[in-house]
Amino acid sequence: MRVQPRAILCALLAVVVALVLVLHTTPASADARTEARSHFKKGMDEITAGKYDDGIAELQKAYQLLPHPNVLYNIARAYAEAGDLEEAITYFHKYLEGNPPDKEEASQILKNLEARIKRQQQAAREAGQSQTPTPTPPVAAADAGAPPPDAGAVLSPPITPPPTKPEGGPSGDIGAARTEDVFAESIVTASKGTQSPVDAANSTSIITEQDIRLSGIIKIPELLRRLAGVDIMEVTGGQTEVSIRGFNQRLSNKTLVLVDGRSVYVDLLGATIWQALSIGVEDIQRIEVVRGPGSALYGADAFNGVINIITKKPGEGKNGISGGYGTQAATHGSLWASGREKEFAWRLAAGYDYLPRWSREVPNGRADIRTGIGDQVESSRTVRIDVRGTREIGKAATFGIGAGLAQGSLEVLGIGPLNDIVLPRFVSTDVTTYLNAEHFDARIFWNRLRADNSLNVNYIGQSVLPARAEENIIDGELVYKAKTDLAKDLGNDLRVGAAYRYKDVNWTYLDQRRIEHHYGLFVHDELKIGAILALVADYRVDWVPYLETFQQSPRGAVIIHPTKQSAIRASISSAFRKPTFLESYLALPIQLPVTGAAQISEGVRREDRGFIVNAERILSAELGYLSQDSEYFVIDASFFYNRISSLIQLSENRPVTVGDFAAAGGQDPQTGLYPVGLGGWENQCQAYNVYGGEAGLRTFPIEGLDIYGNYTLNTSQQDNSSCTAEQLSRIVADQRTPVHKVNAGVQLRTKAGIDGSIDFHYIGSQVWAEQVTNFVRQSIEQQRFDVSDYTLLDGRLGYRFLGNQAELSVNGFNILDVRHREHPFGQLVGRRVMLMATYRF
Amino acid sequence: MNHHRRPTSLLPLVLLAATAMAACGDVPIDDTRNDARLFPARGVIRGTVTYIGPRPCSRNGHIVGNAVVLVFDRRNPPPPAGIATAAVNFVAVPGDALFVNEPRSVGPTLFCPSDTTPITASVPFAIAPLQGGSYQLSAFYDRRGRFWPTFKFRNLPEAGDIGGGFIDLEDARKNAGNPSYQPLYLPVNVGTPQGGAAAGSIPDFIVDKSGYVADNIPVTVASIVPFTRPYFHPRKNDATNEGPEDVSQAVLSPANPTGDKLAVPIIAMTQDAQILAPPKAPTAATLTSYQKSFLSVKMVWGMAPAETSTATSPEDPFGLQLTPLPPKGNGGLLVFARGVSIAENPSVPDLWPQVAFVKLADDPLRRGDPQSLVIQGTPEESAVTGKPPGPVVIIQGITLLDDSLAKTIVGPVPTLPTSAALRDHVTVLVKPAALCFDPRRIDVGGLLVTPHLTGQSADANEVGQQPLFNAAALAKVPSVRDVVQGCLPKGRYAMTMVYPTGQAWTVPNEIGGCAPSEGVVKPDGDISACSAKLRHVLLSQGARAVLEVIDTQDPATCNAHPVPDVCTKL
Repeated sequence: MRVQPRAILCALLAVVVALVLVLHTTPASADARTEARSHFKKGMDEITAGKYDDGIAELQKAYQLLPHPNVLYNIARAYAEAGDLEEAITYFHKYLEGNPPDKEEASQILKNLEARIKRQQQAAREAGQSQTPTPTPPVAAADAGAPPPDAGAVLSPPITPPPTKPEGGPSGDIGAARTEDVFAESIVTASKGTQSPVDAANSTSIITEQDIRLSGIIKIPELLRRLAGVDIMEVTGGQTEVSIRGFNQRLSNKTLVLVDGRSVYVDLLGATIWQALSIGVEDIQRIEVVRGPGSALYGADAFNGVINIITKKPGEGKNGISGGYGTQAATHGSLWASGREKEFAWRLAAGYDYLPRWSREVPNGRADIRTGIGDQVESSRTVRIDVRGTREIGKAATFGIGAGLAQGSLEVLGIGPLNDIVLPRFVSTDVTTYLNAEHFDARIFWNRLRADNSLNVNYIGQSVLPARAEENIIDGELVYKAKTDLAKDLGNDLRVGAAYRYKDVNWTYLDQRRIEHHYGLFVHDELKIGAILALVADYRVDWVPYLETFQQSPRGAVIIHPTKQSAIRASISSAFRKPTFLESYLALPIQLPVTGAAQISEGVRREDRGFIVNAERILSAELGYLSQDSEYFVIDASFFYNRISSLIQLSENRPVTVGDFAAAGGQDPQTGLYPVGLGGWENQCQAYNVYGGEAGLRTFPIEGLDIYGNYTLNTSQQDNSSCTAEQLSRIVADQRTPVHKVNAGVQLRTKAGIDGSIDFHYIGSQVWAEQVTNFVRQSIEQQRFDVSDYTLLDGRLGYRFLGNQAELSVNGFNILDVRHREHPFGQLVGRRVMLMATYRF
Repeated sequence: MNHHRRPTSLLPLVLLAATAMAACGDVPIDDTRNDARLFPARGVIRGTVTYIGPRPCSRNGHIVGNAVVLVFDRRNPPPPAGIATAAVNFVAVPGDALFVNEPRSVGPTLFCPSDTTPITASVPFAIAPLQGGSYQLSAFYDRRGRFWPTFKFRNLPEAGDIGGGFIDLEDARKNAGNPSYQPLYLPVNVGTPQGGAAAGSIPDFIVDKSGYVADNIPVTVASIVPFTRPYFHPRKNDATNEGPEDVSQAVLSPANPTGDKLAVPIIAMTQDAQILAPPKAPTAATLTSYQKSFLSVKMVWGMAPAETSTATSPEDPFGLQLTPLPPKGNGGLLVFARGVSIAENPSVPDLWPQVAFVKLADDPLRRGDPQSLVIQGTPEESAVTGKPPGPVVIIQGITLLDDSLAKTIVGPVPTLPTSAALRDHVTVLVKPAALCFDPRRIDVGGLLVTPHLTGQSADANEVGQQPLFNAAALAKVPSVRDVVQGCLPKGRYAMTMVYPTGQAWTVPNEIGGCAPSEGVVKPDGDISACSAKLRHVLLSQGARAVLEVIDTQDPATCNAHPVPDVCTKL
């Protein structure tokens, strides 16, 4: 860890300016969702008490913070109750613009109100001829649901109507008030259905739209850094790897990433290529993170957690454009538009990102090497477009369809001795369609990824292993869902689903084109016993063709609610990660530091065709506590034990022997390389007992101020009891998950339009065992690499103007310029600054 | 919609903050990084291989064979000029790339055109990475496509291959008829030469951070290799029959403490072995007496008789070029004059094939190297011993003509490698002296260690202690840096026989044992097999085919003159 004096001066200057700005302004609002929720509750209470003006003002504040159709409805209804029918009609019109599911009823109310105005106007005209005008009378409950009365039925207005509370209950002809807590935090990922985090069987975290906006971050995975239990590793300028509760790696493969429930797991690599997503940070409504095994719901690969990126819904939100430019010409551009036409809603987003390399494998001017791409300045360049649409079908069904495209270039640090891989061209597309009905959810999508790739650099005379990859995934899922009340205070929520995933992968690095058909069946049942206790049981079975076995993934949880908004949670779950295509069918000559010789790395072993690597397994037990009782803070704590076994690693080199001649195949006629050794994959003999926990606090002490802090503990004990002496001799100690991790930050928003945020991160030291080329011994072997602990200080200062439509900001990452690597082979991470401008309309 | 008072006066402050951070936050591209682990700056040799020879063979739509270019450090060339056991780097350019326009057979049977008119073909090559240094390039076209770099029994040219290298072509033309001619390899320097080297010696070369390319190196392969490799298996010189030797009795030794029957050495020599001094007036009787004072080993052409069919069978992976002895064939070991005398005695002519015994890595329990393949002083030694590589130790042999030192001296010795020079076996005397080299600086010569400097003469008429060798003649040998009295390093020594073409044969080799992943040797009559991977094992090439230097029964000599440190560690 190295901090330069100049860097400190720069940071201090920035902080001083920030403080001047902050102290010059008045705090205005807290966390937007929390504050909107507070205003909503206050407003509804005021309306119930007959204080219409105050109540409406509160609801308007809530709507301004986080628009929700129910708020519009309640405002309209409150105006009607207050007798201001014209304003009520205005708001009902606004409400109907959103094409709500109850539009027929709302339209009827609107007609009633319009008819009433006419009657009042008629009565006024008539009265004007004989009497002085009278105030508009309150709405009569007697009119509730009644057909428009004819002119003869008009009530005779009193001369001076008393300011009494309108007659009628909550379900007069203005409909019932929408009192449900629309601003309560909810998640969908922990059970494949909407629920409060306090009802979830796993630990969950949410990155909100506000978090995203105030962070100034433009890379989606980097948004997750603030969360407890989530490991973020920026390997190159364009490659960030994410893991949950440890075991991160180059091309991280143990965390399932979803976009609106659609898996974006790249099956050929077993990784998430974040830069190949067709969305940008501006398109995200929230990110849900479920810590702990998720195979019981999502099948293979939801090994240690699930990340679900929820995008902004078609028809919601504004249009906008955003752009940024920063250090080393890093560039970010994004635009989006959304609209609604009756039942049909749409959203279009497009963007461009350029991310530079932070360091290179080799400097310019080297005579002895050749590079896969030109000047080694670019890490990633992506152009993306995303179009989604929905159509309401009746009251309770929604049909959705959408497509996304991301195209560009990328460099990543690969696996084993393949350190620097470039994808000079990749194209990632998806076509997704779904139907959500009252009792059924059906979804099918097609993910396609095509890419050219090669090593970025190699010595002259040695191959850069040019290759082409194409992956087609078709994934379908059908879920039946039923909520039933079995008895008083005994509710049941059942979900039963079937899943199918077709995988077609053709890659030069594999032995041949491979097609797999995966099947899964799952059931989720939640039994709520009163308001205090809930029992959750999940079970999923998956057919994995490579393994030719069914993989079972159960989960069980007991949730106790000491209060309505808090939970004590105990759960046990298991998950598995199936071998990827790379691990199953790899066939790649890894050049040794001898021009004519290679180690052939392969999944299907030529000398042992029946060999397979087994799935990685995790068994997890968790005890958690979550409290959202207070409007001022949220407490989240969890403790877990994970037993992790059968991790897949690169196998030891197996020298080709005379007995292998028949199977070894001899020299490759294209490359001229001789197979002098055989590599591939194997399951680790060692298992890991991981004990850890996360504790976090998020507080909103005063309006406009949002403070969070969390701590993560992760201790791993290696269990070598299943290893032979020979295997033990080869094991290199690995403690790649930092034992201690701390995140803390402050968000500040002011009425004056000044926004700021500061985030601090501490990541403990790590020890990595990585397979590398030994140039002295001319072999590939495991070596130990240390990564020092490091700290990061990120910050953003923004200024909103033009009625909050425009925003300028400056974002700083690693402001103290603590030069570090987040992986032993990672690029050097230094300070980055970006200026951004956004305009919403 | 709420409208608040905008502090527009603060906008400059925002911009100031942004400017401050941007100005301080510039992160330049880290192009100074030169991580030694990833891609350290190295050298490249790049050039063209030119083939002049018969049309190539083909099969299955592919040209069979490769143009193999081997890179050797000039400070340690391969035998016979040096002792390198493996190239520092190599490339094999596939025949398909060399003979792009040649017609080829698409059938599964090997097709070799009958037209012997030489053709010429060229293809570029590049070899990297290389440390700074001065190199020589030898090359051959592997006509049968049998080259496999990591196996001793398939890593050198065979009869019918086309040999060459980056050589002085004019000098080669001048010596076209000389069977003992060794090509004059031209140096390929990689890096910048450093000062301080003695006159005539090869300087150090440094590759700077930009790397180095030795470009436009012309490699030519144009000379058809006339010989098979000197296939042999060793036998005790007193064996009276050619059948399997009796190893039923476990023989314990320091290098074989378990008495593994498959590792009992063919011959053993004490580390203080004493020989007679050469007679000043040689006669048949004194030369016989002198010869008998040496330990000797009989190196017999080919494999053991019962193994020959397996060694040549296309069903087995060996495919050796074993042909019957004359008159049925032209098999046998070619014994012919080298044109010089042995270093320590000018009266004894040096004959081809040259024979050397090279110390193996110590592996008494045969766990790391059950096949006895790893030479001490090579990088692979560490994998066997777990220790850094030690010195290279070589004991040289004296090749006799027709089993007789007298006949070797008196002659006539064949001067050409013709059928008249073919023998079914060669007797080799083992010199009780070891050359110890630092593998990093082979070029500076080795330390010659001999347990005795003097001894009784083979001529009984000569009394008193006589010098065992001609010190003045020995001092002229470039490979000998100095001579000291000391006992020989104990251990097992592989046996290597070398022809002037550089073709060599070494026992033990992979044919004679099983690699760890192949299982263990399961003796089964004449032909053994590996237990895990089913393939035959020819025990005549196995771990018994070694010379073992063992403890002396009288420790006095070794107490007085122990093994020098330079022979045991670096």
